[in-house]
Amino acid sequence: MVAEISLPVAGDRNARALRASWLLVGLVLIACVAALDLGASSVSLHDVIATLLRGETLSARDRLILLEIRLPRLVLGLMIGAALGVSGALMQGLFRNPLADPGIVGVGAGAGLGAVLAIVLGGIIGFVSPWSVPIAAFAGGWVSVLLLYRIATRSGRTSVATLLLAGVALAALAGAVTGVLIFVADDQQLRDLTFWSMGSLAGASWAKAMLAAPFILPVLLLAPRLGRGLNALALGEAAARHIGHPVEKIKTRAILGVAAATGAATAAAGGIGFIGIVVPHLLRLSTGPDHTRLLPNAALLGAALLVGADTLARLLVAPAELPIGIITAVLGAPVFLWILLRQSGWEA
Amino acid sequence: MLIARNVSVSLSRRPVLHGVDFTARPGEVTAIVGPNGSGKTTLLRALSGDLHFSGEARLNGQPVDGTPPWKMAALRAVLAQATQVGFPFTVLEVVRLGLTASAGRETDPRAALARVGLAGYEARLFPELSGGEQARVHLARVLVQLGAATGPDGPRWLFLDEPVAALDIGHQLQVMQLVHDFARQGGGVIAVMHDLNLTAQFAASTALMAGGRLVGQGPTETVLTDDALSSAYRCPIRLNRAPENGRWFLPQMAGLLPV
Repeated sequence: MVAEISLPVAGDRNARALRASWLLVGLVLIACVAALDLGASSVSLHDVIATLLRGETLSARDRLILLEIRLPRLVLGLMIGAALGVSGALMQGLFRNPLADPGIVGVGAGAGLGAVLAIVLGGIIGFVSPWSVPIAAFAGGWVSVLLLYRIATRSGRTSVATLLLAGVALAALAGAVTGVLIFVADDQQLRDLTFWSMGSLAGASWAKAMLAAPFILPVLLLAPRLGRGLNALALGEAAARHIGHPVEKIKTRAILGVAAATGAATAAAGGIGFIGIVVPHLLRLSTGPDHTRLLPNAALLGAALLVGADTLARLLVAPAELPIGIITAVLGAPVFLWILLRQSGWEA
Repeated sequence: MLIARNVSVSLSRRPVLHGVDFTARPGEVTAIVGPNGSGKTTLLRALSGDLHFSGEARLNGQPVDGTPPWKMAALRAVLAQATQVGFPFTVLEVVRLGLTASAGRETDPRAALARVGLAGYEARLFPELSGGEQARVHLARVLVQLGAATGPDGPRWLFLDEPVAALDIGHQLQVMQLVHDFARQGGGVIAVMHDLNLTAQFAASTALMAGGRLVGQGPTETVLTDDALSSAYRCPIRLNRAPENGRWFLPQMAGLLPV
């Protein structure tokens, strides 16, 4: 045992994954500092720290910008990025497929339908509240996950293939209903819808962060405990069971965990693509597929990337803002294509 | 002991196993032989707890279909015909997957790799190995899962589905010798086999299947007879004795080869 701790073992990528974890912690810290420091207004961390060191108090404006605007947005961004990264790793592990993403269990389609219903029907019946869209999106995501789960589960066993196919059917159905609602929507509702579907942290507040936290944080903390089971699932369900893993429990926990974390993330910030699919993939390329390391690292990289993308979204066209989904797609899509080309043996 | 009574299995409502009575003792290799589609793998999967079946099957007295996975995993390891690995794990990482359920057992994954002739392969990526090498990595993984051939809970069991199908003749002998040694140390081995020569050489006991039924079980030399094999495989098969060691030498299709 002593030798195993002190000497690097051939074929053992644990040490590398651990080094990557520290690197990612550094990356998250840098993203945090940048997110607090940079923005449309001229408040900078440097000035703030200098002011505090001089023993003076911050101006009301600086306090407002830092503590009520940038900080809650940073906290929400960290949680959502981590939620998307971990959810992607969970789904790819469960489906044994590096191209699976959190939306695969129907959260995205259901949440999208919920949001559209709230925006369009809410407008028609005259009920408009800042909370109606996130709540409807969260409910829509959960209803579709539970529906898919029921469809795919027969006599206590969940078929991931059925889950996948039923998800395709449900997404098509949700898309059709969404299309009808878009058809009847007015111009302002269309703008709201477009902005929602591309994702944004612009509506971040402490209240939103507090509401998302109980759904996201437990998943982030508990997901690594599924790591060994997901590793075994790479051998297939039968082999994982032979090794002694409670396969059905692992599947149920992974699906419900993703539904909770992605549902809350989507409700709070709309549909943000590519983080969930690219983050686990990048990590697997550098430190291997061991999920006990992959899951915590996916949380760190997801958080750093989303906060970084959000900072860019706030800066690029300041004082206006780009939807964050545009940034993640612009950065994520080329990376994704590169991965696909690499996999098909394009690189020399 | 593994004792199965009146085990029947239906797949998609079609009966594929008809009331099989099957017994295997620790300390020897028990082979399951028979033509394609005779139900060998189905029987092994039922005994592994993978398939719903009617009837009764007990391993060391534990019902195989009601015992929780972690408890069964301490008693028996299963080597399927071909096991794909979903992600590019290294060889060492794949072998270590066998450790998860039996934490605390004294098994060194690297020693297991050496036993299957793959010392030095630890850092290789599993998907880049040849089929035969992959099969031996999985064998190392199931050996790591069981640790020793026996434990406080009685003999431990290896369930093998065509363990040598992907291997060249040298590695076939090496792997069969390895599982034979496992049995000699007090463990149980149940192996679905296609190669009747290796069966005759390494299995003390054999079950012969045809059409979803057990048509013979007992000491290998009493089961593998001209008539039984010819009838089960629906082709004329003749046995010869190898003069050097008195073991069976199989098969020759009567009329095709000069004897």
